[in-house]
Amino acid sequence: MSEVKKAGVFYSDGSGLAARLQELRRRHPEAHVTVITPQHHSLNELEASLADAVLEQPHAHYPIREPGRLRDLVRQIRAERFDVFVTMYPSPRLRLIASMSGARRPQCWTYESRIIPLARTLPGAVLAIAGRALKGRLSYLYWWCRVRFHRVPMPGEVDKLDRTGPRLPRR
Amino acid sequence: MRIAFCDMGFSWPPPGGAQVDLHHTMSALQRSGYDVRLFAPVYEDLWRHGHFDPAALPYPATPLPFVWEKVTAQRLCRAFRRAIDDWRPDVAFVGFGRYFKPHLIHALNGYPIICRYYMYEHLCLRNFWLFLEGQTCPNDYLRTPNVCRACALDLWGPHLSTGEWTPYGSELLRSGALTPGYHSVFTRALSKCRVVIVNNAMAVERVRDFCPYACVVPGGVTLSDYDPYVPLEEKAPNERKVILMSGRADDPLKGLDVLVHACAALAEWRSDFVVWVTGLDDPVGKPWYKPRGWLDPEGVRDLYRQADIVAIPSVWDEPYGLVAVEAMAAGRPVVASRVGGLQHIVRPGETGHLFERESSAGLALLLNRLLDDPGELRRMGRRSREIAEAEYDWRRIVDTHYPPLLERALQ
Repeated sequence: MSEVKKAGVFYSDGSGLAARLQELRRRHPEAHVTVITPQHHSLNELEASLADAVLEQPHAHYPIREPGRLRDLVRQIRAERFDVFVTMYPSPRLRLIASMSGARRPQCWTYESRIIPLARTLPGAVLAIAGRALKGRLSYLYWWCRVRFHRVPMPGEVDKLDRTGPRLPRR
Repeated sequence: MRIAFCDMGFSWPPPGGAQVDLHHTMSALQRSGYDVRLFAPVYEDLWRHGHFDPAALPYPATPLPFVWEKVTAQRLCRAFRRAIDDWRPDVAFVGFGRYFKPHLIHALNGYPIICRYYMYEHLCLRNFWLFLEGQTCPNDYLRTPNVCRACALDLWGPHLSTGEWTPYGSELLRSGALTPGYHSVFTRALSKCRVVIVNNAMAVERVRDFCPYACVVPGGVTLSDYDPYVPLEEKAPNERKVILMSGRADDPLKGLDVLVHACAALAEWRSDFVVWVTGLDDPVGKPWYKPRGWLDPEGVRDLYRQADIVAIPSVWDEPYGLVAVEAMAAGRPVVASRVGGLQHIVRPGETGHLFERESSAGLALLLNRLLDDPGELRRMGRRSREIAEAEYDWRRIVDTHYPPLLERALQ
Protein backbone atom coordinates (compact mmCIF):
# COMPACT_ATOMS: atom_id res chain seq x y z
CA MET A 1 0.00 0.00 0.00
CA SER A 2 2.72 2.44 0.91
CA GLU A 3 4.27 2.39 -2.58
CA VAL A 4 1.35 4.40 -3.92
CA LYS A 5 2.63 7.95 -4.26
CA LYS A 6 0.09 9.31 -6.72
CA ALA A 7 -3.52 8.34 -7.09
CA GLY A 8 -5.99 9.65 -9.61
CA VAL A 9 -9.79 9.40 -9.43
CA PHE A 10 -11.63 9.89 -12.69
CA TYR A 11 -15.03 11.33 -11.85
CA SER A 12 -17.36 10.81 -14.77
CA ASP A 13 -20.80 10.93 -13.24
CA GLY A 14 -22.95 9.75 -10.33
CA SER A 15 -22.71 9.80 -6.58
CA GLY A 16 -20.18 8.46 -4.10
CA LEU A 17 -17.05 10.41 -5.08
CA ALA A 18 -16.40 11.52 -1.50
CA ALA A 19 -16.82 7.97 -0.18
CA ARG A 20 -14.23 6.73 -2.65
CA LEU A 21 -11.84 9.57 -1.82
CA GLN A 22 -12.23 8.84 1.89
CA GLU A 23 -11.42 5.17 1.39
CA LEU A 24 -8.51 5.98 -0.93
CA ARG A 25 -7.08 8.26 1.77
CA ARG A 26 -7.54 5.51 4.35
CA ARG A 27 -5.73 2.94 2.21
CA HIS A 28 -2.99 5.22 0.95
CA PRO A 29 -2.53 7.96 3.54
CA GLU A 30 0.71 9.17 1.94
CA ALA A 31 -0.61 9.38 -1.59
CA HIS A 32 -1.19 12.61 -3.48
CA VAL A 33 -4.78 12.35 -4.68
CA THR A 34 -5.92 14.07 -7.87
CA VAL A 35 -9.53 14.21 -8.99
CA ILE A 36 -10.13 14.47 -12.72
CA THR A 37 -13.53 15.96 -13.22
CA PRO A 38 -15.55 17.69 -15.92
CA GLN A 39 -15.60 21.47 -15.55
CA HIS A 40 -19.34 21.62 -14.92
CA HIS A 41 -19.07 19.44 -11.82
CA SER A 42 -17.81 21.54 -8.96
CA LEU A 43 -16.59 19.50 -6.02
CA ASN A 44 -18.48 20.02 -2.79
CA GLU A 45 -16.73 21.08 0.42
CA LEU A 46 -16.09 17.53 1.61
CA GLU A 47 -14.86 16.28 -1.78
CA ALA A 48 -12.56 19.27 -2.14
CA SER A 49 -11.11 18.70 1.32
CA LEU A 50 -10.25 15.10 0.42
CA ALA A 51 -8.48 15.92 -2.87
CA ASP A 52 -4.97 17.35 -3.12
CA ALA A 53 -5.48 18.55 -6.67
CA VAL A 54 -8.27 18.86 -9.19
CA LEU A 55 -7.71 18.41 -12.91
CA GLU A 56 -10.68 20.01 -14.61
CA GLN A 57 -11.67 18.84 -18.06
CA PRO A 58 -13.57 20.97 -20.58
CA HIS A 59 -15.73 17.99 -21.59
CA ALA A 60 -17.85 15.41 -19.81
CA HIS A 61 -18.14 13.04 -22.78
CA TYR A 62 -15.58 11.58 -25.13
CA PRO A 63 -17.40 10.38 -28.25
CA ILE A 64 -15.59 8.19 -30.77
CA ARG A 65 -16.23 10.69 -33.57
CA GLU A 66 -14.16 13.27 -31.74
CA PRO A 67 -10.93 11.44 -30.96
CA GLY A 68 -9.18 14.73 -30.22
CA ARG A 69 -10.99 15.04 -26.90
CA LEU A 70 -9.94 11.62 -25.77
CA ARG A 71 -6.36 12.22 -26.93
CA ASP A 72 -6.10 15.41 -24.87
CA LEU A 73 -7.57 13.72 -21.84
CA VAL A 74 -5.23 10.74 -22.06
CA ARG A 75 -2.23 12.99 -22.55
CA GLN A 76 -3.06 14.90 -19.38
CA ILE A 77 -3.67 11.76 -17.37
CA ARG A 78 -0.46 10.12 -18.52
CA ALA A 79 1.52 13.24 -17.63
CA GLU A 80 0.43 12.80 -14.02
CA ARG A 81 2.11 9.35 -13.80
CA PHE A 82 -0.42 7.85 -11.42
CA ASP A 83 0.32 4.69 -9.46
CA VAL A 84 -3.37 4.02 -8.95
CA PHE A 85 -6.08 5.21 -11.32
CA VAL A 86 -9.65 4.79 -10.10
CA THR A 87 -12.81 4.97 -12.19
CA MET A 88 -16.35 5.11 -10.83
CA TYR A 89 -17.88 2.49 -13.17
CA PRO A 90 -16.58 -0.47 -15.16
CA SER A 91 -18.15 0.73 -18.42
CA PRO A 92 -16.33 -0.05 -21.71
CA ARG A 93 -15.38 3.59 -22.26
CA LEU A 94 -13.94 3.99 -18.77
CA ARG A 95 -12.10 0.69 -19.14
CA LEU A 96 -10.46 2.06 -22.28
CA ILE A 97 -9.52 5.34 -20.61
CA ALA A 98 -8.09 3.44 -17.63
CA SER A 99 -6.03 1.17 -19.89
CA MET A 100 -4.49 4.25 -21.53
CA SER A 101 -3.86 6.05 -18.23
CA GLY A 102 -0.37 4.57 -17.87
CA ALA A 103 -1.11 3.82 -14.21
CA ARG A 104 0.43 0.74 -12.63
CA ARG A 105 -2.89 -0.20 -11.08
CA PRO A 106 -5.97 0.89 -12.99
CA GLN A 107 -9.02 -0.05 -10.92
CA CYS A 108 -12.74 0.49 -10.82
CA TRP A 109 -14.31 1.10 -7.43
CA THR A 110 -17.96 0.39 -7.97
CA TYR A 111 -20.80 1.90 -6.00
CA GLU A 112 -21.61 -1.56 -4.63
CA SER A 113 -18.20 -1.67 -3.01
CA ARG A 114 -16.28 -3.91 -5.41
CA ILE A 115 -12.72 -3.15 -6.48
CA ILE A 116 -12.25 -4.45 -10.01
CA PRO A 117 -8.71 -4.53 -11.40
CA LEU A 118 -8.76 -3.19 -14.97
CA ALA A 119 -6.52 -4.04 -17.89
CA ARG A 120 -3.30 -2.03 -18.23
CA THR A 121 -3.08 -2.21 -21.98
CA LEU A 122 -5.46 -1.25 -24.77
CA PRO A 123 -5.65 -4.77 -26.30
CA GLY A 124 -6.21 -6.18 -22.82
CA ALA A 125 -9.06 -3.75 -22.24
CA VAL A 126 -10.66 -4.55 -25.60
CA LEU A 127 -10.45 -8.27 -24.86
CA ALA A 128 -11.91 -7.80 -21.39
CA ILE A 129 -14.80 -5.72 -22.76
CA ALA A 130 -15.61 -8.25 -25.48
CA GLY A 131 -15.26 -11.20 -23.10
CA ARG A 132 -17.54 -9.70 -20.51
CA ALA A 133 -20.15 -8.71 -23.03
CA LEU A 134 -20.21 -12.22 -24.45
CA LYS A 135 -20.26 -13.87 -21.03
CA GLY A 136 -23.05 -11.57 -19.89
CA ARG A 137 -25.27 -12.22 -22.88
CA LEU A 138 -24.76 -15.97 -22.75
CA SER A 139 -25.48 -16.01 -19.00
CA TYR A 140 -28.64 -14.02 -19.45
CA LEU A 141 -29.84 -16.29 -22.21
CA TYR A 142 -29.08 -19.35 -20.10
CA TRP A 143 -30.91 -18.02 -17.02
CA TRP A 144 -33.81 -16.72 -19.05
CA CYS A 145 -34.33 -20.26 -20.43
CA ARG A 146 -33.93 -21.80 -16.95
CA VAL A 147 -36.50 -19.49 -15.43
CA ARG A 148 -38.90 -19.70 -18.32
CA PHE A 149 -38.83 -23.44 -19.03
CA HIS A 150 -37.49 -25.13 -15.91
CA ARG A 151 -40.03 -24.42 -13.24
CA VAL A 152 -40.62 -25.20 -9.60
CA PRO A 153 -43.61 -27.56 -9.46
CA MET A 154 -46.19 -25.47 -7.61
CA PRO A 155 -49.71 -26.59 -8.54
CA GLY A 156 -51.50 -23.68 -6.91
CA GLU A 157 -49.30 -20.92 -8.27
CA VAL A 158 -50.82 -18.32 -10.54
CA ASP A 159 -48.84 -17.89 -13.75
CA LYS A 160 -47.85 -14.28 -14.14
CA LEU A 161 -44.96 -14.78 -16.48
CA ASP A 162 -46.96 -13.66 -19.46
CA ARG A 163 -47.36 -10.03 -18.52
CA THR A 164 -49.29 -9.14 -21.65
CA GLY A 165 -52.14 -11.60 -21.32
CA PRO A 166 -54.66 -12.38 -18.62
CA ARG A 167 -53.29 -14.05 -15.49
CA LEU A 168 -54.51 -17.64 -15.57
CA PRO A 169 -53.98 -20.42 -13.06
CA ARG A 170 -51.42 -23.00 -14.16
CA ARG A 171 -52.79 -26.33 -15.26
CA MET B 1 -24.46 -20.79 27.07
CA ARG B 2 -22.38 -20.32 23.90
CA ILE B 3 -24.01 -18.57 20.99
CA ALA B 4 -22.28 -18.27 17.62
CA PHE B 5 -23.51 -15.33 15.56
CA CYS B 6 -22.97 -15.95 11.86
CA ASP B 7 -23.41 -12.93 9.65
CA MET B 8 -22.54 -12.82 5.98
CA GLY B 9 -22.82 -9.05 5.60
CA PHE B 10 -21.28 -7.66 8.75
CA SER B 11 -19.36 -4.40 8.52
CA TRP B 12 -18.31 -1.96 11.18
CA PRO B 13 -18.95 0.99 11.05
CA PRO B 14 -22.32 -0.34 9.99
CA PRO B 15 -23.76 0.31 6.53
CA GLY B 16 -27.31 -0.36 7.72
CA GLY B 17 -29.72 -1.30 10.48
CA ALA B 18 -29.11 -5.06 10.27
CA GLN B 19 -25.55 -4.71 11.51
CA VAL B 20 -26.61 -2.31 14.25
CA ASP B 21 -29.29 -4.76 15.38
CA LEU B 22 -26.86 -7.68 15.49
CA HIS B 23 -24.23 -5.63 17.29
CA HIS B 24 -26.62 -4.57 20.04
CA THR B 25 -28.16 -8.02 20.41
CA MET B 26 -24.69 -9.49 20.88
CA SER B 27 -23.57 -6.77 23.27
CA ALA B 28 -26.71 -7.11 25.41
CA LEU B 29 -26.50 -10.91 25.52
CA GLN B 30 -22.86 -10.69 26.52
CA ARG B 31 -23.71 -8.27 29.31
CA SER B 32 -26.39 -10.73 30.45
CA GLY B 33 -23.76 -13.43 30.88
CA TYR B 34 -24.00 -15.33 27.59
CA ASP B 35 -20.81 -16.37 25.83
CA VAL B 36 -21.14 -14.86 22.34
CA ARG B 37 -18.84 -14.78 19.32
CA LEU B 38 -19.26 -13.25 15.89
CA PHE B 39 -18.27 -15.11 12.72
CA ALA B 40 -18.29 -12.97 9.60
CA PRO B 41 -16.42 -12.81 6.30
CA VAL B 42 -14.09 -9.94 5.46
CA TYR B 43 -13.44 -9.22 1.80
CA GLU B 44 -10.16 -7.80 0.59
CA ASP B 45 -11.62 -6.76 -2.77
CA LEU B 46 -14.57 -4.75 -1.42
CA TRP B 47 -13.88 -1.16 -0.47
CA ARG B 48 -16.87 -0.16 1.61
CA HIS B 49 -18.60 -3.28 2.89
CA GLY B 50 -17.30 -6.49 4.44
CA HIS B 51 -14.72 -4.92 6.74
CA PHE B 52 -14.43 -4.79 10.50
CA ASP B 53 -11.70 -4.66 13.09
CA PRO B 54 -12.30 -7.35 15.75
CA ALA B 55 -10.33 -5.27 18.27
CA ALA B 56 -12.85 -2.45 17.90
CA LEU B 57 -15.82 -4.65 18.80
CA PRO B 58 -16.93 -5.20 22.41
CA TYR B 59 -17.37 -8.97 21.88
CA PRO B 60 -15.01 -11.58 20.41
CA ALA B 61 -15.14 -11.94 16.66
CA THR B 62 -13.62 -14.31 14.12
CA PRO B 63 -13.13 -12.74 10.70
CA LEU B 64 -13.19 -15.20 7.82
CA PRO B 65 -10.99 -13.81 5.03
CA PHE B 66 -12.37 -14.04 1.50
CA VAL B 67 -11.96 -12.63 -1.96
CA TRP B 68 -15.41 -11.67 -3.21
CA GLU B 69 -14.61 -12.63 -6.78
CA LYS B 70 -13.95 -16.21 -5.66
CA VAL B 71 -16.79 -16.69 -3.18
CA THR B 72 -19.13 -19.58 -3.72
CA ALA B 73 -21.82 -20.98 -1.43
CA GLN B 74 -19.70 -24.07 -0.82
CA ARG B 75 -16.54 -22.15 0.11
CA LEU B 76 -18.40 -19.77 2.36
CA CYS B 77 -20.31 -22.54 4.12
CA ARG B 78 -17.21 -24.68 4.57
CA ALA B 79 -15.34 -21.78 6.18
CA PHE B 80 -18.22 -21.02 8.53
CA ARG B 81 -18.69 -24.67 9.47
CA ARG B 82 -14.99 -25.14 10.21
CA ALA B 83 -14.77 -22.00 12.35
CA ILE B 84 -17.94 -22.85 14.24
CA ASP B 85 -16.96 -26.46 14.83
CA ASP B 86 -13.73 -25.18 16.39
CA TRP B 87 -15.72 -23.11 18.87
CA ARG B 88 -18.56 -25.60 19.53
CA PRO B 89 -21.47 -23.32 20.37
CA ASP B 90 -24.76 -24.45 21.94
CA VAL B 91 -26.81 -22.37 19.52
CA ALA B 92 -26.05 -20.86 16.11
CA PHE B 93 -27.69 -17.54 15.31
CA VAL B 94 -27.79 -16.80 11.59
CA GLY B 95 -27.93 -13.06 10.96
CA PHE B 96 -27.78 -11.13 7.71
CA GLY B 97 -27.13 -13.03 4.52
CA ARG B 98 -28.69 -12.70 1.12
CA TYR B 99 -29.07 -15.58 -1.30
CA PHE B 100 -26.39 -17.69 0.45
CA LYS B 101 -28.30 -17.81 3.73
CA PRO B 102 -30.28 -21.04 3.14
CA HIS B 103 -27.02 -22.79 2.21
CA LEU B 104 -25.44 -21.62 5.45
CA ILE B 105 -28.38 -22.95 7.47
CA HIS B 106 -27.88 -26.37 5.87
CA ALA B 107 -24.14 -26.17 6.48
CA LEU B 108 -24.80 -25.65 10.20
CA ASN B 109 -26.77 -28.87 10.36
CA GLY B 110 -26.67 -30.35 13.84
CA TYR B 111 -26.65 -27.06 15.71
CA PRO B 112 -29.91 -25.58 16.99
CA ILE B 113 -30.45 -22.57 14.72
CA ILE B 114 -32.11 -19.25 15.34
CA CYS B 115 -32.49 -17.35 12.10
CA ARG B 116 -33.01 -13.60 11.91
CA TYR B 117 -34.46 -11.87 8.86
CA TYR B 118 -33.88 -8.14 8.81
CA MET B 119 -35.54 -7.32 5.52
CA TYR B 120 -37.79 -9.58 3.49
CA GLU B 121 -35.04 -11.95 2.33
CA HIS B 122 -37.31 -14.91 3.01
CA LEU B 123 -40.11 -13.53 0.87
CA CYS B 124 -38.64 -11.50 -1.98
CA LEU B 125 -36.09 -12.96 -4.37
CA ARG B 126 -35.94 -9.78 -6.44
CA ASN B 127 -34.27 -7.43 -3.94
CA PHE B 128 -35.71 -8.36 -0.50
CA TRP B 129 -37.89 -5.23 -0.48
CA LEU B 130 -41.24 -6.93 -1.13
CA PHE B 131 -42.11 -3.64 -2.75
CA LEU B 132 -43.28 -3.40 -6.31
CA GLU B 133 -44.92 -0.61 -8.29
CA GLY B 134 -45.33 1.61 -5.23
CA GLN B 135 -46.93 -0.96 -2.94
CA THR B 136 -46.28 -4.08 -0.89
CA CYS B 137 -45.99 -7.05 -3.25
CA PRO B 138 -48.81 -9.58 -2.81
CA ASN B 139 -46.56 -12.47 -3.96
CA ASP B 140 -43.79 -14.13 -2.03
CA TYR B 141 -41.09 -16.62 -2.96
CA LEU B 142 -42.37 -19.26 -0.56
CA ARG B 143 -45.76 -19.48 -2.27
CA THR B 144 -45.12 -18.23 -5.80
CA PRO B 145 -41.51 -19.17 -6.59
CA ASN B 146 -41.90 -19.09 -10.36
CA VAL B 147 -43.42 -15.63 -10.35
CA CYS B 148 -40.66 -14.43 -8.04
CA ARG B 149 -37.90 -16.02 -10.13
CA ALA B 150 -39.24 -14.26 -13.22
CA CYS B 151 -39.55 -11.01 -11.28
CA ALA B 152 -35.94 -11.30 -10.07
CA LEU B 153 -34.74 -11.97 -13.60
CA ASP B 154 -36.73 -8.96 -14.83
CA LEU B 155 -34.71 -6.78 -12.51
CA TRP B 156 -31.32 -8.42 -12.84
CA GLY B 157 -31.47 -9.59 -16.46
CA PRO B 158 -30.34 -6.37 -18.15
CA HIS B 159 -27.62 -6.07 -15.56
CA LEU B 160 -26.49 -9.68 -16.05
CA SER B 161 -26.34 -9.23 -19.79
CA THR B 162 -23.67 -6.52 -19.46
CA GLY B 163 -21.32 -9.01 -17.81
CA GLU B 164 -20.51 -6.44 -15.08
CA TRP B 165 -22.13 -8.05 -12.08
CA THR B 166 -22.68 -6.32 -8.79
CA PRO B 167 -22.30 -8.34 -5.57
CA TYR B 168 -26.10 -8.78 -5.54
CA GLY B 169 -26.23 -10.01 -9.12
CA SER B 170 -23.32 -12.38 -8.81
CA GLU B 171 -24.63 -13.76 -5.50
CA LEU B 172 -27.97 -14.39 -7.18
CA LEU B 173 -26.22 -16.59 -9.72
CA ARG B 174 -23.59 -18.19 -7.49
CA SER B 175 -26.17 -19.24 -4.91
CA GLY B 176 -28.33 -20.89 -7.57
CA ALA B 177 -31.28 -18.76 -6.45
CA LEU B 178 -32.78 -18.79 -9.94
CA THR B 179 -32.70 -22.57 -10.23
CA PRO B 180 -35.88 -24.53 -9.48
CA GLY B 181 -34.06 -26.55 -6.80
CA TYR B 182 -33.35 -23.46 -4.71
CA HIS B 183 -36.96 -23.31 -3.56
CA SER B 184 -36.62 -26.68 -1.91
CA VAL B 185 -33.25 -25.70 -0.38
CA PHE B 186 -34.93 -22.57 0.91
CA THR B 187 -38.04 -24.15 2.43
CA ARG B 188 -36.07 -27.01 3.98
CA ALA B 189 -33.68 -24.46 5.52
CA LEU B 190 -36.59 -22.58 7.06
CA SER B 191 -38.04 -25.78 8.47
CA LYS B 192 -34.65 -26.60 10.04
CA CYS B 193 -34.59 -23.34 12.02
CA ARG B 194 -35.94 -23.81 15.51
CA VAL B 195 -36.86 -20.13 15.64
CA VAL B 196 -37.28 -17.57 12.86
CA ILE B 197 -37.20 -13.93 13.95
CA VAL B 198 -38.67 -11.25 11.72
CA ASN B 199 -39.45 -7.58 12.08
CA ASN B 200 -43.18 -7.24 11.72
CA ALA B 201 -46.48 -9.09 11.94
CA MET B 202 -46.98 -9.29 8.17
CA ALA B 203 -43.67 -11.15 7.81
CA VAL B 204 -44.66 -13.59 10.59
CA GLU B 205 -47.96 -14.25 8.89
CA ARG B 206 -46.30 -15.14 5.60
CA VAL B 207 -43.55 -17.36 7.02
CA ARG B 208 -45.51 -19.13 9.77
CA ASP B 209 -46.47 -22.18 7.70
CA PHE B 210 -42.88 -22.88 6.69
CA CYS B 211 -41.02 -22.99 10.00
CA PRO B 212 -41.57 -24.45 13.47
CA TYR B 213 -41.83 -21.07 15.17
CA ALA B 214 -41.79 -17.47 13.92
CA CYS B 215 -41.94 -14.31 16.01
CA VAL B 216 -41.23 -10.59 16.02
CA VAL B 217 -38.40 -9.16 18.08
CA PRO B 218 -38.31 -5.37 17.89
CA GLY B 219 -35.10 -3.46 17.45
CA GLY B 220 -33.85 -1.20 20.19
CA VAL B 221 -31.08 1.05 21.41
CA THR B 222 -28.55 1.04 24.24
CA LEU B 223 -29.79 4.00 26.19
CA SER B 224 -26.49 4.54 27.96
CA ASP B 225 -24.96 5.25 24.54
CA TYR B 226 -27.21 8.30 24.39
CA ASP B 227 -25.84 9.71 27.64
CA PRO B 228 -25.40 12.48 28.37
CA TYR B 229 -29.02 12.96 27.44
CA VAL B 230 -29.35 16.49 26.13
CA PRO B 231 -33.00 17.57 26.22
CA LEU B 232 -34.16 19.67 23.33
CA GLU B 233 -33.53 23.32 24.12
CA GLU B 234 -35.01 26.37 22.48
CA LYS B 235 -32.63 27.83 19.94
CA ALA B 236 -31.50 31.46 19.96
CA PRO B 237 -33.44 33.61 17.46
CA ASN B 238 -30.51 33.80 15.04
CA GLU B 239 -29.69 30.10 15.31
CA ARG B 240 -31.06 27.77 12.64
CA LYS B 241 -33.02 24.68 13.65
CA VAL B 242 -31.64 21.37 12.46
CA ILE B 243 -33.72 18.81 10.54
CA LEU B 244 -31.74 15.58 10.48
CA MET B 245 -32.06 12.66 8.11
CA SER B 246 -29.99 9.79 9.44
CA GLY B 247 -29.23 6.42 7.84
CA ARG B 248 -28.39 5.44 4.26
CA ALA B 249 -29.60 8.61 2.63
CA ASP B 250 -28.13 7.60 -0.74
CA ASP B 251 -30.56 4.66 -0.90
CA PRO B 252 -33.53 5.82 -3.04
CA LEU B 253 -35.93 3.85 -0.81
CA LYS B 254 -35.07 6.13 2.09
CA GLY B 255 -36.78 9.02 0.33
CA LEU B 256 -34.14 11.74 0.40
CA ASP B 257 -35.79 13.31 -2.65
CA VAL B 258 -39.07 13.62 -0.70
CA LEU B 259 -37.26 15.51 2.04
CA VAL B 260 -35.40 17.66 -0.46
CA HIS B 261 -38.63 18.64 -2.24
CA ALA B 262 -40.31 19.36 1.08
CA CYS B 263 -37.43 21.51 2.28
CA ALA B 264 -37.17 23.33 -1.05
CA ALA B 265 -40.80 24.36 -0.52
CA LEU B 266 -40.09 25.16 3.12
CA ALA B 267 -37.15 27.35 2.09
CA GLU B 268 -39.56 29.60 0.20
CA TRP B 269 -41.45 30.32 3.43
CA ARG B 270 -38.64 30.48 5.94
CA SER B 271 -34.87 30.38 6.35
CA ASP B 272 -34.49 29.40 9.99
CA PHE B 273 -33.62 25.75 9.34
CA VAL B 274 -30.86 23.60 7.95
CA VAL B 275 -31.07 20.01 6.73
CA TRP B 276 -28.31 17.63 7.81
CA VAL B 277 -27.97 14.34 6.02
CA THR B 278 -25.69 11.45 6.92
CA GLY B 279 -24.31 11.12 3.42
CA LEU B 280 -21.37 12.35 1.45
CA ASP B 281 -23.04 13.80 -1.61
CA ASP B 282 -24.69 17.12 -2.10
CA PRO B 283 -27.40 16.63 -4.74
CA VAL B 284 -29.05 19.95 -3.85
CA GLY B 285 -26.36 22.62 -3.77
CA LYS B 286 -28.41 24.92 -1.55
CA PRO B 287 -27.25 26.68 1.61
CA TRP B 288 -29.90 24.89 3.69
CA TYR B 289 -28.55 21.43 2.80
CA LYS B 290 -25.46 20.02 4.45
CA PRO B 291 -24.09 16.49 3.94
CA ARG B 292 -22.46 15.41 7.19
CA GLY B 293 -20.48 12.48 5.85
CA TRP B 294 -20.56 8.79 6.68
CA LEU B 295 -20.17 8.67 10.44
CA ASP B 296 -19.50 6.10 13.12
CA PRO B 297 -22.33 5.49 15.63
CA GLU B 298 -21.00 8.03 18.15
CA GLY B 299 -20.81 10.63 15.41
CA VAL B 300 -24.44 9.93 14.50
CA ARG B 301 -25.54 10.19 18.13
CA ASP B 302 -23.83 13.55 18.30
CA LEU B 303 -25.89 14.67 15.31
CA TYR B 304 -29.09 13.56 17.07
CA ARG B 305 -28.11 15.67 20.08
CA GLN B 306 -27.72 18.73 17.89
CA ALA B 307 -30.87 18.07 15.85
CA ASP B 308 -34.31 19.55 16.53
CA ILE B 309 -36.36 17.23 14.32
CA VAL B 310 -35.54 13.85 12.79
CA ALA B 311 -37.14 13.22 9.40
CA ILE B 312 -37.62 9.67 8.05
CA PRO B 313 -39.24 10.01 4.62
CA SER B 314 -38.89 6.32 3.59
CA VAL B 315 -40.93 5.38 0.54
CA TRP B 316 -40.91 1.60 1.02
CA ASP B 317 -42.34 -0.55 3.81
CA GLU B 318 -39.45 -0.28 6.25
CA PRO B 319 -39.39 -3.70 7.92
CA TYR B 320 -38.71 -1.98 11.22
CA GLY B 321 -37.36 1.61 11.33
CA LEU B 322 -34.50 1.67 13.79
CA VAL B 323 -33.68 5.31 13.06
CA ALA B 324 -36.99 6.33 14.67
CA VAL B 325 -36.06 4.48 17.86
CA GLU B 326 -32.59 6.05 17.87
CA ALA B 327 -34.11 9.50 17.52
CA MET B 328 -36.50 8.78 20.40
CA ALA B 329 -33.62 7.62 22.58
CA ALA B 330 -31.92 10.95 21.91
CA GLY B 331 -35.15 12.68 22.87
CA ARG B 332 -35.94 14.09 19.46
CA PRO B 333 -39.36 14.20 17.75
CA VAL B 334 -39.71 12.19 14.56
CA VAL B 335 -41.57 13.07 11.39
CA ALA B 336 -41.88 9.86 9.39
CA SER B 337 -43.81 8.44 6.48
CA ARG B 338 -46.71 6.14 7.32
CA VAL B 339 -45.06 2.89 6.19
CA GLY B 340 -44.05 -0.53 7.53
CA GLY B 341 -42.71 -0.62 11.07
CA LEU B 342 -42.40 3.17 11.32
CA GLN B 343 -46.13 3.63 11.72
CA HIS B 344 -46.03 1.44 14.83
CA ILE B 345 -43.08 3.24 16.42
CA VAL B 346 -44.06 6.88 15.92
CA ARG B 347 -47.07 7.98 17.96
CA PRO B 348 -48.66 10.88 16.08
CA GLY B 349 -49.07 13.99 18.21
CA GLU B 350 -47.14 12.39 21.06
CA THR B 351 -43.63 11.60 19.80
CA GLY B 352 -43.85 13.09 16.33
CA HIS B 353 -45.99 12.99 13.23
CA LEU B 354 -46.71 10.70 10.30
CA PHE B 355 -47.30 11.77 6.70
CA GLU B 356 -48.40 9.79 3.68
CA ARG B 357 -45.79 7.95 1.63
CA GLU B 358 -43.98 10.23 -0.87
CA SER B 359 -46.01 13.28 0.16
CA SER B 360 -43.43 16.03 0.20
CA ALA B 361 -46.23 18.60 0.65
CA GLY B 362 -47.43 16.76 3.76
CA LEU B 363 -43.90 16.63 5.11
CA ALA B 364 -43.33 20.33 4.41
CA LEU B 365 -46.51 21.29 6.27
CA LEU B 366 -45.63 19.17 9.29
CA LEU B 367 -42.07 20.51 9.42
CA ASN B 368 -43.36 24.05 9.11
CA ARG B 369 -45.80 23.52 11.95
CA LEU B 370 -43.16 22.02 14.22
CA LEU B 371 -40.58 24.68 13.44
CA ASP B 372 -43.16 27.28 14.47
CA ASP B 373 -43.79 25.65 17.82
CA PRO B 374 -40.64 25.08 19.92
CA GLY B 375 -42.77 24.20 22.95
CA GLU B 376 -44.38 21.33 21.05
CA LEU B 377 -40.97 20.14 19.88
CA ARG B 378 -39.65 20.03 23.44
CA ARG B 379 -42.76 18.23 24.72
CA MET B 380 -42.53 15.60 21.98
CA GLY B 381 -38.81 15.20 22.59
CA ARG B 382 -39.34 14.55 26.30
CA ARG B 383 -42.12 12.04 25.62
CA SER B 384 -39.99 10.28 23.01
CA ARG B 385 -37.23 9.77 25.52
CA GLU B 386 -39.67 8.46 28.15
CA ILE B 387 -41.06 5.89 25.72
CA ALA B 388 -37.59 4.86 24.58
CA GLU B 389 -36.58 4.28 28.21
CA ALA B 390 -39.69 2.24 28.92
CA GLU B 391 -39.82 0.14 25.75
CA TYR B 392 -36.78 0.27 23.52
CA ASP B 393 -33.71 -0.27 25.66
CA TRP B 394 -31.72 -3.18 24.21
CA ARG B 395 -31.14 -4.65 27.62
CA ARG B 396 -34.87 -4.77 28.23
CA ILE B 397 -35.66 -6.13 24.76
CA VAL B 398 -33.02 -8.84 24.94
CA ASP B 399 -33.94 -9.83 28.50
CA THR B 400 -37.59 -10.06 27.54
CA HIS B 401 -37.36 -11.84 24.21
CA TYR B 402 -34.16 -13.85 23.94
CA PRO B 403 -34.05 -16.20 26.98
CA PRO B 404 -37.35 -17.88 26.00
CA LEU B 405 -36.20 -18.07 22.37
CA LEU B 406 -32.86 -19.61 23.31
CA GLU B 407 -34.66 -22.07 25.55
CA ARG B 408 -36.99 -22.97 22.71
CA ALA B 409 -34.03 -23.45 20.37
CA LEU B 410 -32.37 -25.83 22.82
CA GLN B 411 -35.46 -27.95 23.41
